[in-house]
Amino acid sequence: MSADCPDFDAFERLVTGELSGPESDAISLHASTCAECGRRLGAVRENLDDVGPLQRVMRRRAAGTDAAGVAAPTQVGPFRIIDEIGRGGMGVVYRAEQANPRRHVAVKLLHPGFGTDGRFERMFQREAHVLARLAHSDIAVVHEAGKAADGRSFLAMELVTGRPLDEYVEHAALPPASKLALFLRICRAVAYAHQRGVIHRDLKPSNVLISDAGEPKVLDFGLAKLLEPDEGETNATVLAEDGRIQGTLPYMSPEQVQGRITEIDVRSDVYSLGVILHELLSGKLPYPIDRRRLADSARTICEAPPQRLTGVDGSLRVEAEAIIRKAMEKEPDCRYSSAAAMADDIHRLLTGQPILARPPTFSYQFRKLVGRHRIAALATTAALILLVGLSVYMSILYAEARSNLIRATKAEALANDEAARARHEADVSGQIRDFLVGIFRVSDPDVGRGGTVTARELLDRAAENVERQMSANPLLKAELIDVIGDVYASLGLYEEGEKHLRRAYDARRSLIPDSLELAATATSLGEVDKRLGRLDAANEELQLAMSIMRRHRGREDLHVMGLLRSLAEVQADRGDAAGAEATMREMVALLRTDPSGRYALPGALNALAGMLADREAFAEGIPFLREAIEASREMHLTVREMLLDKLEGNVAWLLANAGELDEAEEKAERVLKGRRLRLPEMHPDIATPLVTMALIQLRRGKPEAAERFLREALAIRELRLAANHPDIAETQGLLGQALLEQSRLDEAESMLLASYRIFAKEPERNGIPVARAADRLAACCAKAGRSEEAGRWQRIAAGESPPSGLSATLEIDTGESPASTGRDTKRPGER
Amino acid sequence: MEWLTTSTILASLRDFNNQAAWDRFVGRFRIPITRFAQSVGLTEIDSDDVAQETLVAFVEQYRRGDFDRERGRLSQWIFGIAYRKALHERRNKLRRPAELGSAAGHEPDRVDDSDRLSAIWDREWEENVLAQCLDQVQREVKPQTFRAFELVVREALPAARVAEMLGVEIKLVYNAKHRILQRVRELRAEYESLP
Repeated sequence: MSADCPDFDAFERLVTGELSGPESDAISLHASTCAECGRRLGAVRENLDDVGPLQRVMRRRAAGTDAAGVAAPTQVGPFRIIDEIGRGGMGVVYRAEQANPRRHVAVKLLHPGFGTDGRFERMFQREAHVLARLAHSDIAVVHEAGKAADGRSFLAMELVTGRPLDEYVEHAALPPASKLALFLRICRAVAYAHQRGVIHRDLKPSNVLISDAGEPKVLDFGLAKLLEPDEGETNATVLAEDGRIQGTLPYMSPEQVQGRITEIDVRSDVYSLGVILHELLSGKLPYPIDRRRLADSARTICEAPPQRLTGVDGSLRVEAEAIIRKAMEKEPDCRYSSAAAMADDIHRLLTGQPILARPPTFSYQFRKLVGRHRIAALATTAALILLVGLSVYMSILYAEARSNLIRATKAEALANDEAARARHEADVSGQIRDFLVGIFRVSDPDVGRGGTVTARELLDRAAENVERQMSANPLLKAELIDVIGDVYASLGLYEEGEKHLRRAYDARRSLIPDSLELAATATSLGEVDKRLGRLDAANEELQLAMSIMRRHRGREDLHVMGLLRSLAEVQADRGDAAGAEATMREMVALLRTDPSGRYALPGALNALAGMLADREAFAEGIPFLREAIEASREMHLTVREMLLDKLEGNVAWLLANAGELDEAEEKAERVLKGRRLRLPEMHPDIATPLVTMALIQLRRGKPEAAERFLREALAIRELRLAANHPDIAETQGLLGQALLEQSRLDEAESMLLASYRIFAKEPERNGIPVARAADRLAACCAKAGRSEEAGRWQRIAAGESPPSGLSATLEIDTGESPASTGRDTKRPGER
Repeated sequence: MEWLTTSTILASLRDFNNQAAWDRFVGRFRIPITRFAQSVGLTEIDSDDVAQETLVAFVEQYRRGDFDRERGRLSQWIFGIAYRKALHERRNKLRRPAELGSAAGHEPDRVDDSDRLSAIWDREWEENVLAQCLDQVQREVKPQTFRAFELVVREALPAARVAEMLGVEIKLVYNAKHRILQRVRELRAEYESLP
């Protein structure tokens, strides 16, 4: 390349045809003689081919994360945007330049999708207010807050160039003592905020930046809760005033996870600091949190002890672990009372003084044994085996709980013989222990093959061991077979699971009929049979389990609730709608009275409303959905947003059906807008609010508007659903109605017939839709002046003629009447 | 973050204790799977499950030596797994309440012609590759260079306008555009390059 060589711009203009004449010729000639420029010209041609796909990707990403496809601004308030440096749930953070004083700042701009109800905007404004009160060298300073030209709120703060805490520590390869010293500063910064009445509530490594000089800065007090309201601010105490829970799951305390908002205080931050310290020292979270399995993760946070600290040696490990455990106690009262107290203990540790936190104790040896073996399995097997190990582990804990039940039952029988009971318990627990050790030994590299063990091998070994070791104890054998069956089923091996569960079921029916253990096996077996489509067997097993549970346990028991849900599903699948509705009503009644049932209540209410809708009791279903919406507000943010979307969509649909059009339209529009933004194009979930909107338009007497919604919904459903899916028929029926109301009779009839044909394939299941479709066809024929056909459809709609109508449909379709062709419209076997 | 070729990432997965390798692997391949699963009608949560299961299954197969490059490209291999997992997950949904809340559920039995799904997969895979290459380039170049690229490619603004906005010479805007396009092309070639 020389100074005479053209630049990229010249080559691009050449390729795109912007240049012509002598200038174009000169560049072409040059490229043919200069090897480097020849290559560059070729590269420009290829590059331009890539622009389209790259533009699509960049726009899709921008749309996905900005929630509105808004391009990065060039100016926000007095700040000139340089580039984007981060994104969060609330907004985008840009590096920007301020003219006066001249400096670089971080500008946090609220997502345009937020703030529609003012909640996010209030939170954002409050962040500025809260931060303005904090002046600490290790907390990022706020410079300014305001509104951008497009109305979005922004916050300008100190620009910290550096890395998030976890990344910094990994990169810098700090020794444990240096990590502790760094953590101590963070702890003290948080303590400073606590002393000024500010709780962070979302402490995590990404909210702590470490500058290039190694200085920590705590960021993002956006979720902070003001302990003491300022003058004139009456409701500043709770940012999450509507009960919304905020935070990042792995760092959230049990009280945050459980939504106990009134219990969130500085000790919640202490908990998060404990998690951060664990991660800082060991490089791992203290629990195996899977962010996608919220319920399991929440349970882990609330129940499981943190894993042992690795990556630190000697006495430092013991004491650091003690500090972490104290910070991460499940009960806030057992934690450090403040971040300052925790900082003091860290300081003691670093200066060789005795710490206040006491080493924890492990209360249950059995659990410890299993825990150790699970870790052994982890070290030697693949990720799949980890999952299996966890499944087995959970099943064993379950078995442990069940064996307690067995012991309780036995204790009753042996009430007068304490010695015998003690011997029995020792015997049972010893046998279970040996059995477990036998299974897990396969994952011990010293005993096993040292290679990968498959899930199936682990389970098959367990099944074999049961036969060999437990033949003398049929009750215990049934117990373990039941556990093994459960594990097979949990892995999706339903046939295998069913085989084992049935053996346990048969054994328990003969050995301990009318026992809770039999009920438990019957429940598991019923679930598996349900998944295998053996509905009658499932119904029988679940009914048996239900009758035992009702006799033995309180009706509020969670097991009873789960059972009721399964039973309702099986009843509905078997076509027993009345039975399913009664069961679901019973379940809803139980969930309402049990505080621990609140997470299941919205789903149950939704299911009940759906059942009512199935029999067109729309107005009756609406209060249930409203209750579900209220109940779901107590749930975790992530779950709640999804649930609320569904519930709002459903209530809109019921409202539309019940004639409450204004409220229905407002809700349906909101749901539709949200789904269009969030879901891929042509996603079937978009069709649902489209149909609701159409229904509303029809009811308002606007068939043209309804038609537009329905055409889009039908296109989606035809693309995504099986040809005879009832949702397609439903859409066709409504579209037929919209066309009928526009007097486009031929089009209407064809659409209505298509709808009718689908519903009529299963007349028993689709009684109401068949009747409605026939009714519409009657109206269509009547409007077309074909009164005889109209009458025939009316008879079908009224149930006076057989509803099958498949042949009738064909006849009408071809314009021939049944009488003229001599064909019978009735189903075979009917008179 | 250091840019690694797919070969390197896969090779490091052979070490069972290498959590960072797993994280990188998930970071690289999760998104196209979740998007694909959403395209066949699964919810966001279910799609994440499908992605997790698919990646675990792939790693298992890879460690066993089942993945044979001669038998197909990496993307097609992962597609095969994701396809089965997504359909299985959808079948599983039969036992869950459908959106409109029937206890029995009315989870649709959707039509899936494999050509259509294959096309969806190819598109998602391609976009994921490009997105990751772009992320990497963004880490490599100066913020202003990338901003120029964004404005000229994503926003399709004329180079002269971008130069004016950023206060730079127009030549620099073209340079930024083509240097990044070229670098994306190089990274893309590395992306699926397997030994």
